[in-house]
Amino acid sequence: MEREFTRRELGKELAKAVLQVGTPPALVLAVGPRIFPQVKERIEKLLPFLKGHEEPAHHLPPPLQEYEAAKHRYGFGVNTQVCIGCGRCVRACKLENHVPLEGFAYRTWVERYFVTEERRVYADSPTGGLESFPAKEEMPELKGASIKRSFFVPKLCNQCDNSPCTQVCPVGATFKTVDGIVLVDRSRCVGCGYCIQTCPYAARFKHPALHVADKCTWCYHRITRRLRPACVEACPRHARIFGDLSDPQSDIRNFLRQEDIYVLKEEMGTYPRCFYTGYRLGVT
Amino acid sequence: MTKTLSLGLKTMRSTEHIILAFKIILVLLLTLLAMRTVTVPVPYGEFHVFQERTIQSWLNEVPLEYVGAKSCKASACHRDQIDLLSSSRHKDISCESCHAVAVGGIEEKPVDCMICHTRLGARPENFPQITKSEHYPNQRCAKCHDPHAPIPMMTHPMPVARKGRQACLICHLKPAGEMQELTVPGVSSEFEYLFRPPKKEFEHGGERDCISCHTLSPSLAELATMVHGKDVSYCPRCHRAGGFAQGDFR
Repeated sequence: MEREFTRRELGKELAKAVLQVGTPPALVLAVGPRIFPQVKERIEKLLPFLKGHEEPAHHLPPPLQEYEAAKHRYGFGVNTQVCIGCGRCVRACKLENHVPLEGFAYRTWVERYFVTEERRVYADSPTGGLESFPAKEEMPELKGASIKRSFFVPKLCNQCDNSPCTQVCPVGATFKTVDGIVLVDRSRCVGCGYCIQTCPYAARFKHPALHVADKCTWCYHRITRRLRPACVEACPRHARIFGDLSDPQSDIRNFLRQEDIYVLKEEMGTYPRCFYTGYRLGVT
Repeated sequence: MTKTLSLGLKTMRSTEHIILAFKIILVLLLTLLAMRTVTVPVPYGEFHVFQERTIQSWLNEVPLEYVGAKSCKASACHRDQIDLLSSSRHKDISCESCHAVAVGGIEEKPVDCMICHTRLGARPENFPQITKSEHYPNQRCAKCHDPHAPIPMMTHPMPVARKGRQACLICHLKPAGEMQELTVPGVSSEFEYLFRPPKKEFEHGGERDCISCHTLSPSLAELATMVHGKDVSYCPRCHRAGGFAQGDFR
């Protein structure tokens, strides 16, 4: 029984690998389901993402056909001092990017940090911040400890300039665009999970429905239309700042001018483009 | 003789072989090139073809869900709410932070106030927060606070959030039967009359805002003096000197 299951799964994975590594995508779509009936379902699931959706919303800015990536260089700012951990950003992100609301899969999430008098640091994030946070923290480590400070830290993809995730992908499904955003090709990804393992910020996850690697793209479909990412749009406290680093008047340049800036895990040499300000003790 | 012949034949043969080999290589090369032009898609830009396709799909095909506050504010559909909002403390909050996303059209109630305003240790201290069990546990937030126009808390015993005359009359014009619902902490029986309907003669204010006479930050004692008319310094706010006839107001 077990052996049969293993064989079937192995066959699926092999078929997937052959389909996705060795053949052009158009061929995969045209011939794939016929030759490999076992991956038909999976390919059909991917179709809307490959072909796009039929009805564009009429009152939204039209797609920018003439978008010039080389003229932009995006940056993100997070102010941990004003974040209230309401999780509106997490919800906005999930709705905007069609990540199921249930299940532990987050493109962006909020963590709650506790710093004790002994300078020990603890963090929790029971639902990624989606339904805000419970008033009573239930961490066994914190029992009896006197909390000196407590604050929220929103997390998301740092769009590193020296990104580890794009270097480990065995099929080249993830890559960095000219404007600095790391994207994933969903039809190319074989779901091996190397990139999920290698990301120092744990910003990648396996999409619960598509079973491919997924990650925050700073809402690439929005920012290329000169809209702000959904999380920035939804934040009631302006804890998230987004802008074009190449534009001196942008929000992010103002943020970088004014605030005391740090990046997460600077020692990893990833050169993140997501800048943090506010509390920093123990924030990783 | 035979030696030279055979040698000559050998040389002849080897050159032929080389030419043949070159011919075969040439044919193979041409077939390969021909096949390549058919099978390998033309890469454009500096990305591989499938990467370029991913970018194009993000640029043109991925649908948007959030329209952003600018879009709501530019339209005339929700003029009333947006006017209210524009001068309030919530003015910087996007509509879609509390309401459903605009494009996806998910029918849902506005978000619970308590998601932002529950007291949490990790929230900044200057952010208005309450513990629901201590703050009118059985009342809806919207009964006193208008989410589109939450005005800053006053020292009034009850934070008055709605604007205009109606704000005060929510509590101060309660029929006697419903009075029991109100739990006003810190109000002794001495001031219980404040929650009775105003007397006939106090309705002379007409449509005037109550706060044009009654300040919102009085001590309870001051409020009592004023209502009882013991302090005459309040009178000229409405009445001209010497004129007390009906309608003879400032």
